[in-house]
Amino acid sequence: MDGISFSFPSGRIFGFVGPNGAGKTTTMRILATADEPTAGDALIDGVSVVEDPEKARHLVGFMPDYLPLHRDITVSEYLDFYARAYGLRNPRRQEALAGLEEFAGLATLRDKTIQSLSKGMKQRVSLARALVHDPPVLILDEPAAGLDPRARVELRELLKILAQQGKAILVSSHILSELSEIVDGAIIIEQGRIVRAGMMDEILSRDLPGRLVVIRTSRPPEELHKALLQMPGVKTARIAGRHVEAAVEGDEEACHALLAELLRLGFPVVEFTQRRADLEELFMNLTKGEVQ
Amino acid sequence: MNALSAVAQRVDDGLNPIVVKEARQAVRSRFVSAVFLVFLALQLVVVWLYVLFNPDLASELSGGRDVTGILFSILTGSCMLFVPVYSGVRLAWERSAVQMDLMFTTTVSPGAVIRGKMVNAALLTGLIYSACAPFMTFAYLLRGIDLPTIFLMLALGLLNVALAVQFALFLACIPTSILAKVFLGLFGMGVLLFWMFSGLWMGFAMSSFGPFGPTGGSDFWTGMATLALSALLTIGLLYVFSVAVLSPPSANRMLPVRAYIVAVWLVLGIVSVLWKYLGASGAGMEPWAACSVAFFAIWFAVAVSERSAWGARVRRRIPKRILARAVAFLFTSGLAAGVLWTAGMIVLTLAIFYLVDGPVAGRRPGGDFKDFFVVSAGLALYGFAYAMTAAILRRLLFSGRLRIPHYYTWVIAMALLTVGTIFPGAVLILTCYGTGRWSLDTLSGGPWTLTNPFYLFSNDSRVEHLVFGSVWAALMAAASIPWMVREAAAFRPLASEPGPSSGSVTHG
Repeated sequence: MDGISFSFPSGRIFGFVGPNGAGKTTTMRILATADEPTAGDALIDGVSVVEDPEKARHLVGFMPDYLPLHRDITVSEYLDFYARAYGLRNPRRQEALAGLEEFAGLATLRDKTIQSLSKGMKQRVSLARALVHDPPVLILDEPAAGLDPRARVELRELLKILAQQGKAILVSSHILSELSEIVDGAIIIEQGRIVRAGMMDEILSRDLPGRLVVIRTSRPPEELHKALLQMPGVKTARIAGRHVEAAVEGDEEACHALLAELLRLGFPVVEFTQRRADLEELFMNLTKGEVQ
Repeated sequence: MNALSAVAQRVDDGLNPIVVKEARQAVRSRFVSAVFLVFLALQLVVVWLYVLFNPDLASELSGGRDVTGILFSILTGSCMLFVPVYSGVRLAWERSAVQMDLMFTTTVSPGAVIRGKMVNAALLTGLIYSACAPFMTFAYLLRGIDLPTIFLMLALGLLNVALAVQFALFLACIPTSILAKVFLGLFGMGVLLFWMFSGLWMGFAMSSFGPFGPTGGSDFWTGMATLALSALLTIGLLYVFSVAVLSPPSANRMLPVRAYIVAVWLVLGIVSVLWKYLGASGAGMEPWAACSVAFFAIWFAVAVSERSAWGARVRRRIPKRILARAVAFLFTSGLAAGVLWTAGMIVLTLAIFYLVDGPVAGRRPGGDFKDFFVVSAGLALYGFAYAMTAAILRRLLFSGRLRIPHYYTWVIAMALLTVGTIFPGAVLILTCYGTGRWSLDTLSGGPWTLTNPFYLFSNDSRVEHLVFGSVWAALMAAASIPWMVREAAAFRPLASEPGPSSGSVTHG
């Protein structure tokens, strides 16, 4: 890591993205107090992870990209251990565990050993483990890796609920299209340095100021493509099946002007949709794919 | 909720989480089950074979003693092999950098981790002991051994296992490579085997003659007490050391370690004084002084492996008053503090020894006393010189591209000691052997032996070695003074709370 600095607020989900080897896991492990930085510091609600890791551990729930392999412990025993390790006493411990099992859908798995679970179920256990002491901050490293489509959708919904509960969530993932659907902000990192950090709207308006519109007419798309490329406000255009995607310079007024021009030229427009640029485009635009 | 369940719940809440987890895992572990089965089968086969090949067992009175001896060997061997390996490997796996167990990101304290592991090891040992109990009962019924002997033997074995487990846990905690852990483990196993055989020998002696029999005189009990006390003190030291290693680097890790050592040193010193003046044997304080100086001479290597800077966590607790700050400095993690504390402990030991058991107390200043004093001081000087040379070498040569972390300075010191002890003699043999210029006497003295501190024990070259050690230590001290003074001067209380430095990650 090289002089990185960022913040993420409560009640929001922040995506932490970067190429392999960019330093995402290292940063997350430092935030979770699993590793110590050689220099610098990280504050969780004002508590230093270097100076007061014991206090910081109360504030952070960490879900690593793997679940340490436990052959000889069941789901309920595993969660019970962590509840005890965070100092939860009965009856609060029992209530917390019951609530977590219900929230993460683990009630039917409580007597199974961790090793016998599928990847998706292990991720659920890992999320429940991270939530066992009800921390205000969640650090999730590749939580969707290896999950089937249904499990991914369910995980997204769980994260949205947690954000609504006021938790600050930092989540890393390589599946940027899915991450785009839930994040409020993003931190893009490459070669140990922050490339961009902030709320999505701010970053997009700064780095991808234009609009992307998807157009379909009843004429062949090649004609529309040719016409679009001759228009002054259109940066690029490409044919995608029966549609044409055009990158338009400017704001919504420019999109309106483009539609008006197409109608004036006599194109029978049957579909005109504005598409928001997403994290994936932003990421591809800002990073070079270099590793440390 | 009735009173009983309320008490049960309170007990349940108070349980160490590590013990609960480990016990649950041990119950499910196939490895643990397999070891128990093998242990039971081994005892069964051995006892059965013994009975089978001793038809006169009913008329002899030595059957119980023999069987107890055999069972004690199996029990001690099994426990010392299985329990430490099981506990140590599990902790090392949980501490592995590539797959660190998440329990280290919880609020379980380092002390609770080590205690939990020790309690779990005790539970496993208890299970093995209980599996041995029917066979021991059978041995008792065979006659030839009494119950106090059996219980004393078992207690001795338990102490050995506790020592082996604590050593294994310490090894598992230290942040080093698996290769280094294996190397240290082999070295430790050598020491533990010596300990185990000492225990076995004592056990056999007790089973043969009884603890209150012919061998059960004062020498036997003194040896037994020394062995037990050494084991207990070593367990304590390894425990505080393990806790220190698991504590966050920003904490004052060495405070409990140094406090423990000072407490033990003080208690043993007082016992030595009482022993000298009240004991019937009239023994002096040499054992205490010799052990203390040897220990602290080795401790220099530990002291130079400490980090040289303090974070806000330590600095917040530095006293403002100068005297209190000076005392706090000696008990704070840090290279200069560690070296000064170690040197101070050696000086104090020798001063107390000189005052209480030396010429001041009416002892003749020459002869044995002088030799003992010179050897002790010489060993301390060599210890200091080797450790400081290692620290300076690391700063000069291994802080750039070829970087060796500060916590490996002790390895450099040990390497220097090995080279200084073996290398000059080896070179001499290789260059002079067969040339007619070499004989065994050549190795017994001369300048090539000067770096070998063990020549201090030789009457012929003691003075030369003392002078060499003094000059070398003085040179190293002179070379270290500037940065040691800088480090001591930097030991000041925090003026104000610092904001997050560059590279901070802030959640707001």
